Amino acid sequence: MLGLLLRCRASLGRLYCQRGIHDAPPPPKALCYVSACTDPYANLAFEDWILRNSDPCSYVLYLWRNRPSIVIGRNQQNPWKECNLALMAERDVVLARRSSGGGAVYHDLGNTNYTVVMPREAFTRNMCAEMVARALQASDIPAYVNARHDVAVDGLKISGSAFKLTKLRAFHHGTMLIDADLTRLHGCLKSQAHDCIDAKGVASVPSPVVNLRDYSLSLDHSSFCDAVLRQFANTFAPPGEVTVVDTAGDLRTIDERRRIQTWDWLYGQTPEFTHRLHRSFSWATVFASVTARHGRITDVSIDTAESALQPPPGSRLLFADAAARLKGVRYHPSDINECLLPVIDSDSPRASELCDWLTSNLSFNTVSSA
Amino acid sequence: MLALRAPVQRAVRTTATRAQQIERSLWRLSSRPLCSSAPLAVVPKSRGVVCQTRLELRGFHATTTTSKIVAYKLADIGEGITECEIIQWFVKPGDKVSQFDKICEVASDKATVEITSRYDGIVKKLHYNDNDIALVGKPIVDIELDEQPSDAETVQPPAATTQATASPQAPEAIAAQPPRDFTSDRTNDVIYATPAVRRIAREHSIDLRFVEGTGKSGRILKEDVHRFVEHGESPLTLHPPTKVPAASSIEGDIASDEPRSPFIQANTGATASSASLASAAAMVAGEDHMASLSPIQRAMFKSMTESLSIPHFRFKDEIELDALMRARQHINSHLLALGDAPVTKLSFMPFFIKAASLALAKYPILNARVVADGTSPPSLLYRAAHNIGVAMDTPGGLLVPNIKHAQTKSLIDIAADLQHLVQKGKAGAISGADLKGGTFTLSNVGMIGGTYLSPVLVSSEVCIGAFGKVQRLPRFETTIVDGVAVERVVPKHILVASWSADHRVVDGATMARFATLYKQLLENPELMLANMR
Repeated sequence: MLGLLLRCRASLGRLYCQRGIHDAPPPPKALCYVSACTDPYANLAFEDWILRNSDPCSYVLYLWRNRPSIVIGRNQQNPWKECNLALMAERDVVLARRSSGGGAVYHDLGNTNYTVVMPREAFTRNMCAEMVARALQASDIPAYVNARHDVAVDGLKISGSAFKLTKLRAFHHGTMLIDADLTRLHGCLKSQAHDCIDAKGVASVPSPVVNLRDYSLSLDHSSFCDAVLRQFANTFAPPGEVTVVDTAGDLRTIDERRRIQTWDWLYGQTPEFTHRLHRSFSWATVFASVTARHGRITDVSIDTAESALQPPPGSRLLFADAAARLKGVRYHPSDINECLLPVIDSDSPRASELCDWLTSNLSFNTVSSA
Repeated sequence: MLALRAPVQRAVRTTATRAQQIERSLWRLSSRPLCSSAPLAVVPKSRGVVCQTRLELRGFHATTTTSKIVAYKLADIGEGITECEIIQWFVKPGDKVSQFDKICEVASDKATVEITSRYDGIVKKLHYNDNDIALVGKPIVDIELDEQPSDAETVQPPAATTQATASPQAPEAIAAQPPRDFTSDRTNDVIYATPAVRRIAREHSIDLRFVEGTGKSGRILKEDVHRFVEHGESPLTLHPPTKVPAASSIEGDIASDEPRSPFIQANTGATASSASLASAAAMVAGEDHMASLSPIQRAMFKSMTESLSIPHFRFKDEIELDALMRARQHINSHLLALGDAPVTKLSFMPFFIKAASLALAKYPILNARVVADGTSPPSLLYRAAHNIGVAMDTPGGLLVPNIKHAQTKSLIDIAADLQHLVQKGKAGAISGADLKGGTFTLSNVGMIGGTYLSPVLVSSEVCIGAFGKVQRLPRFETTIVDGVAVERVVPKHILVASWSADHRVVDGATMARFATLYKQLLENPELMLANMR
């Protein structure tokens, strides 16, 4: 493996792999995969497969599209804060989490994704963005790369990028808004709990976006893919083969597909956050602060306002009981409901009021059946 | 266990209580290897008495298996990223990890990076928790290596580790092992040695303070004592009086006049003595003495070997410094009057450096670098920054830190930078960043002595200049007196500038023109002013 690593060292100004001291180094190996499937989990799993299994010296272009879904970044993303999960369920928008960093993005059939997998040594942030910008320029669209390494037109973002680096390989993947349903997008990325949740990790940086459809009537998924493929061939090397892959049926990626659909990956990878809520009951105004880490509740504090008069007797006990029960529970409506059930069933009307409120408001924008 | 008892109780041989006797016999019966990782007793300095224990009775070998713990640093992940968040740990303390296993995943704003292990070993400690911000270049995890470091490495005296944090040309050779820190052991006067070793030392009348320990955490092993006995002294301990640091408290005790026995010489602490001085003392003691190269010497060895494969073109010229001296005096009196200037006095070096930068602007090939990696035809990399290296003789040896971007700096800026570097050099605090990136070198070895020099190129550069000492010499000068040209002998301050250039890419004419322009600039400071950017 070390030998391969040495051979992959990029020489000055060139992206080729050194294969020995010959007259002219051969062009790097290049491949292209096009996904025929629109399942985001299958596509993401295949992307991961390419990252880990392609030839360490090769350059791979992967073009894919997803059905309507929201894809959040690896770790710094809090799905409850970033997305309106209830609305998403209503509109049949799937939640996925990718393995690269960055913010939440909306995918649908009007958005094409490109991934370029390359040797780690050859990686720079701008290289692929510029390649895509050139592809668009060749289609008469005045695209350029902005300061955040995104492709933009007229000051508006049309593509977002993210990166992942492993020991030998690195990939740059990005979106391309060709004809996406932007109104649907806005709703889903606006969470009602946005202000109530203090999250560690990085929040998305919202940028005004625009569809390429506004700049070109003829551009669509296949012509964009052709243009990118041509630029890829110019920048690196003509791909030896272009393979159309049915990612959903690919046996090699079954485990990865399953892994990225689990609750642990989608929600459990969230860094620590605190959800603060309050409600005025007839008997007191209650403030609750729930801290969760990796999707599990770690700390709960339920109390009335500090300088308020003593709440009715039994309330303190009730608060402490509910708080103790919630600790360690998954931040998920059905789990929360289940753990508070004994309290609800008890005779105290206050207890049931409190627990009803907690169950419906904590993780409230997640659909119970998810 | 015994090792955890208070030192005072252990140091003096007393009648063992019944409990102690039982414990000792139990210990004797146990099959545990001796001197593994148990902390050893701390013996106060004043006591030379060593406790006789069962160790000596059983005649056990006092060496320990040394397993090194390496603090694995977060490598530069590129893109100018200096810090990133730890997303997920894939290992925990106690896990076995092999080379290329995933250790953790970190993320910056848009990129996630998998960090893999460079070593085989066992994870000892994680420096960060989940979602903490990790800094590039700082350790993220401690790994205990499986294999023992080779003897050759451990025996080497770390002559310069306490001072130079990076050697100039070849940091890789030394960076593989973190510099062994003997200083902390010495300054606290805590000597780690087993009772067996102490007995041997006592028998040979050796004070263990002067013996270099090669075991774990600087422990003194039996072999160290034997070596000390055979070779007379270890290179670390000898210290010429002229280079003793002021901080040492036993400086006054140095009895260096008596070469008879090295054992009575005071150890003044951790400052390095070069191997040559150690061997000089050995000569005095009448014995041959092997000393391995200090890290700085090793770096010099490697770089000079490389450099002398380059064909040098040499050019020497005399420069009259009188006008410059007047200009310098003028500037210095002005700076003194100012009071709040960054430097109070300019030496000649800032002028030499700035003149070089101005001349390089006209002859940029001399600021270039030959790139010949064997696979592509050799080419020249022209560099925009004039990072002028200044050869410095520090207590640790020759170092060449550079002044960055001299082309954008004024004389006063350069002088301030130079002063800063000299101070750092004296304190042994010159950093790797100071040493890297040099594009052109000047050496003012004339401060020590010498007139005509033949400096050796730095292999990553194509030109180097060296100045001898300034001499007051007679020269002929023609002046007009009463309308008649008269030739007179006048005293002039002459400096010889010796230049060497890479003759593979620089021809003699270019070097000569550069040197002539340089001479003009220094002889006529007004021209420097005219060309100043």
